[in-house]
Amino acid sequence: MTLPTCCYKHIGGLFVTLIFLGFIPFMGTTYHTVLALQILMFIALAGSFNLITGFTGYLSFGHVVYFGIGAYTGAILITRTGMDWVLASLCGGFVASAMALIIGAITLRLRTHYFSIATFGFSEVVRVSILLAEPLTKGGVGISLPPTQSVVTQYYAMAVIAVAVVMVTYVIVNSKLGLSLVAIREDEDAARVYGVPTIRLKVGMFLLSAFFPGVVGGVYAQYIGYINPEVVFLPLLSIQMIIFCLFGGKGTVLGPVIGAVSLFLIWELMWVNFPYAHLITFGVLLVVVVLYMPWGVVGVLSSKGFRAIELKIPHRQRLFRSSTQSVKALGASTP
Amino acid sequence: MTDHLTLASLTQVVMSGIALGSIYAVVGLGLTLVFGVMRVINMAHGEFLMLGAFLTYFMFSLVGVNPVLALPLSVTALFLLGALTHRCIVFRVVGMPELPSMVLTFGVSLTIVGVALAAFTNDYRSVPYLTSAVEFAGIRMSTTRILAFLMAMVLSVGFYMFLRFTRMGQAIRATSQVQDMAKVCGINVGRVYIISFGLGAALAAAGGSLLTMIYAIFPEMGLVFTIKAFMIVILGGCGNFAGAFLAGMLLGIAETVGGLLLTTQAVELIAFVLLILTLLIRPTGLFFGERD
Repeated sequence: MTLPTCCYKHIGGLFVTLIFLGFIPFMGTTYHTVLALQILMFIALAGSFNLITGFTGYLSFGHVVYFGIGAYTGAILITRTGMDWVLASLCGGFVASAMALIIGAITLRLRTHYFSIATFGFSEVVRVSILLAEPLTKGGVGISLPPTQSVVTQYYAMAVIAVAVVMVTYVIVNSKLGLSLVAIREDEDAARVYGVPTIRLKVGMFLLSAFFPGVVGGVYAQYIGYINPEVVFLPLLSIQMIIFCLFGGKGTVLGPVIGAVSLFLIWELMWVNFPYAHLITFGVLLVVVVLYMPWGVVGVLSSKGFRAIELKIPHRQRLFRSSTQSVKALGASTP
Repeated sequence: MTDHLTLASLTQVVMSGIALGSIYAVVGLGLTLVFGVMRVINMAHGEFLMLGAFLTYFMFSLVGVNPVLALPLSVTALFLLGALTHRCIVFRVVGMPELPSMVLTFGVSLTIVGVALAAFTNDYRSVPYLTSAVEFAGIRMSTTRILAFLMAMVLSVGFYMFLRFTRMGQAIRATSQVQDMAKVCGINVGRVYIISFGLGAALAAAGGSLLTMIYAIFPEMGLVFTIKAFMIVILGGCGNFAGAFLAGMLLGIAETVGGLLLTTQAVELIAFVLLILTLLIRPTGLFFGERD
């Protein structure tokens, strides 16, 4: 079994990234590790948001809710049952997915902006429910977690999640699933007519895009040591996911990574001196992205001749070719 | 529970709900106009409301103009800002799928919030104007609520007359019904868009000015009102003006009556719950089958 040539480059790139990520805690100060942890967190969040919005075109407007649910599940399990934080974070992911199943089953029948507003509505409903469910969540007081020795373990956990999200995206982009999802994004009715199981795929992707933020939330709760509804249901987090993903390039593998790294660093540099400048920057960027670069930085680079950045394996070299492609090839060969 | 839920207190609550609802109705009419005419969800609607409220506040606190007189000024200012926003940015996404327009106007709204936070800081402010109350047949109403209600009614009726009887109003209704046909009839659709977007912003600003009499204002207040306005648009049946007016009233009453029974946090959810229920059960709106 031989892999396509570009696959080796991608795998090589992955190894270099892994080694780099592995050495970060030994290279700089704690500040650098924490900064890297936060960037990786946003890569994971923006990447998960990309899974639903970038591929299916459904703009999930309150995606922070899954992060918050993950954080609360993790925190409650750690403080009440003394569960190991890794396991608790994973549980956070599953609970977030379960919540996504409920929200998705209801909202994914809606299209476009109705879906967006409904998801935002649900995120508010969940936030206030957590605030009101005082016996379990301690309401606005929040939950304090037992302190950790160092942030390095949480850093590695975030790195694993971020890499996992990027790899999942890579697999989706280069599979028949990705093609089906893009078909949904471009024309859902047409996709349905062609036999794409739209509802199943949409709900599935919604669950997947909720799972990772849930796990991230659990790890975040352990790292930050104290959570309350204000912190983990911060609407700014939803906004950041949207902007990081759209700026980098929706529906691409590296888009959320590029967006999260570049914009988070800009934000980190700005917020100390100009506390509100990031909102203005983000707002202007959104306008610019919609008007001039709908496919984000990756789209711009790709159209300038740097196609490799899309990390797409040419269809001809794929191990598992999609049936639609073979049908097309057949159609092209007949006169 | 029973001793404070008398008929008089319930009437009082419903009346103040109607006052609040009339303001919601004005705000909702603005978004209905924009959505009905150009199928753009204007996520910056609440920010226009916030700017209108702040203009009124500053005219009151710096110059001493009372909110009733400040309203026409903030409405005019926001009409111009809205028209300008459409002329410069929003017109590019008209006719595109809803998603880019939503993201674009959301960008506009973030920019406005950022500028407002930098300019006005994150403080809560209120306009101490007419703090007295009127009592009639055992029902107490604050003077400002009555005044806000009357102003909102004047605005709504005026807006209705404008749509019904002026040439521009007819052009707006024609465009919102069948755009291509309106073009064929010689209506300058581009101009209708600019005027509608300006009017939408102006109605939001009017709502904001009226709200300063009832609530404290702050730069980040906008998003909630965008969502409430969107809920009114949906509940009223997209693009239906009479429906939007009734939906606004309904939301106002639901919120004040809910305030009797629920905590403040839960009251904020009423709009969302109503929105989700409407989307699920009757996505075409509560009142009429077809839009006007």
